[in-house]
Amino acid sequence: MEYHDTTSSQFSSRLRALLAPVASNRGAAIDDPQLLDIAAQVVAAFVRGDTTGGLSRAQITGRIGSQVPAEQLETRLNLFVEMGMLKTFHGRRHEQRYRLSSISVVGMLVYQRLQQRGGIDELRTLLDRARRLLQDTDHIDHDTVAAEIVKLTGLLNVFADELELLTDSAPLGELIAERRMHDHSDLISDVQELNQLVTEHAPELDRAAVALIGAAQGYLAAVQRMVERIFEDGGETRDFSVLNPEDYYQAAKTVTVAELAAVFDRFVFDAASLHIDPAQLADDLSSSRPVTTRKLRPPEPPAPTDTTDPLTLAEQRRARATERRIRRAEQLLEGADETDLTGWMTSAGWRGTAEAIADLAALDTDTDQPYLVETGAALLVDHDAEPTYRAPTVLQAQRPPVHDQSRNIPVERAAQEAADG
Amino acid sequence: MAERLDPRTAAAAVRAAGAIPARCVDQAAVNRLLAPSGRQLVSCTSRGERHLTVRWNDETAPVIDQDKVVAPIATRAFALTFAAVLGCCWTQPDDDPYPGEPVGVDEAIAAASGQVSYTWAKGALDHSLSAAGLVELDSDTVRLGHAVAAFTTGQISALRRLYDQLPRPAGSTAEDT
Repeated sequence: MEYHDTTSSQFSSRLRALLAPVASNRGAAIDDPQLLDIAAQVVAAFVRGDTTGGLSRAQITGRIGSQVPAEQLETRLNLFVEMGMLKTFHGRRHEQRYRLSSISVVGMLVYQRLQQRGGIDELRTLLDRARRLLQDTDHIDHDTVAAEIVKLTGLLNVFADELELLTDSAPLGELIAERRMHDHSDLISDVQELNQLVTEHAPELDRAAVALIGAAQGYLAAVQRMVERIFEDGGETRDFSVLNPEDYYQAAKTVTVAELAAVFDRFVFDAASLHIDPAQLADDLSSSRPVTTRKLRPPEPPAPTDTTDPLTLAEQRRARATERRIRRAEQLLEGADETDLTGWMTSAGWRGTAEAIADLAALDTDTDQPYLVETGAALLVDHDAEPTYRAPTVLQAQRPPVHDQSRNIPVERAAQEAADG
Repeated sequence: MAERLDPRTAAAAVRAAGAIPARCVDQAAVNRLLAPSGRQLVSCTSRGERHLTVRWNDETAPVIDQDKVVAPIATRAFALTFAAVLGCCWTQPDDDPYPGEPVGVDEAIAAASGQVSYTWAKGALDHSLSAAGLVELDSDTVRLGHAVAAFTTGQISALRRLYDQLPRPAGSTAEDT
């Protein structure tokens, strides 16, 4: 037995609602439909073969096989024994062989129907019972028939109210699962038939029968509204699970071409294409004639002109790069002879730091340039900053002394002499 | 299609038709619509007029898997006929194959004759390859079609490796190019 007709949460809530009248606390029902599967497999183990003298736990486990984890099965078997679903064969306390409670088997059928049909079958059972009561024209028990009709009317109203609420609030997937449980095209004709029987055999119950028809119409209207929302939402999301495969098959056979085409009104199709697979093409070509071993010469580069001497160009490129690096170094020094770059790195970020250090290192190795980069041995780590790892770094410029033009002495010395008076 | 189409219609039209005249399209606006799906418009020429077609970016191009068919894959005869047209029209291996040079239909069929029969080659040119936009036929000439303009750089690189194996008319070799 498998439970795919409703979602797991739908089934859990139904089960809780079903058990509510006999539950002692809110955790009485299982939440996982798979646990019901285990119960079904235990039932199947008893149905499957000879049960003369009962079955031991090992036999039950053996018949179920490895589909259920051993620990989980053991836990459930303990519970089934405690709650009387499995009884010792002769009713003695320490017996090791068990028989299955018939009530539990019937209960499983109810759960199964609840899972697959959502309880609507009970309504049909009630309808059939009321009709049978009215068909027994010799002994019509008017009170019982009236009670059945009132019960039916109330049940239909409850279903209708629940559907209305679902239609307003449930997600599309839940509605699609629910819809499959409300496919009752002949319900109204059954109710009408019951109404006809009432008119013929128990006219005093006419008022109740009319109320029943009203309730049936209300229920069908609620189903219709749910179906409309499914089609509306499903159409918008192009959800093809809205209809059963059979519905699509019927539509293909019965509706017009224009109606079928309307589905694709807002679709875009790509133009017809024919994929050329280069790997397959290579195989086809090699299998259709010998592979040539000719090699293509690389394309000849354009002939150099007088103005594009490659060495001159390379020299120009190098000069431009050096000029750019000097500009960067001076920008960092801001006129000073030395600057500490350690703090600056965090504001420059990883990329800016990497580019600057690369440029400065190039200047450092260029003996024509007066710049030096000193990197300390310490390692500064800051996991929030970029770069995360830094070493104290100082940029120096060993500038040549600037001379006082009038006296041909360094500017610093001239300034010192002026200060000394 | 003389009037300029609104960008959404143009994006749908260029996908559905394969290529549409450039004068009907606001190229930048359509590119903005195509960008999220990893596609862009590229220029091509059809019947002497500038057209636009859609090309996948290399990173987003669908992988055609023979086991999970999502696009018709050219059969051997069609693929070899296309290879012959490519060999005739693609004269500069360093350039992209598109637009290439137009060649005579007879010349292309002659190039394919070493691999496929005349009937198959003619049928492929007239029907499948033309319909797929891989070739464009004029009265007696054939040129590469808009679908070749839409080849990704990955596809072009793979075809470039086959360049010297592509069928060519008798007396012409890859080295001549």
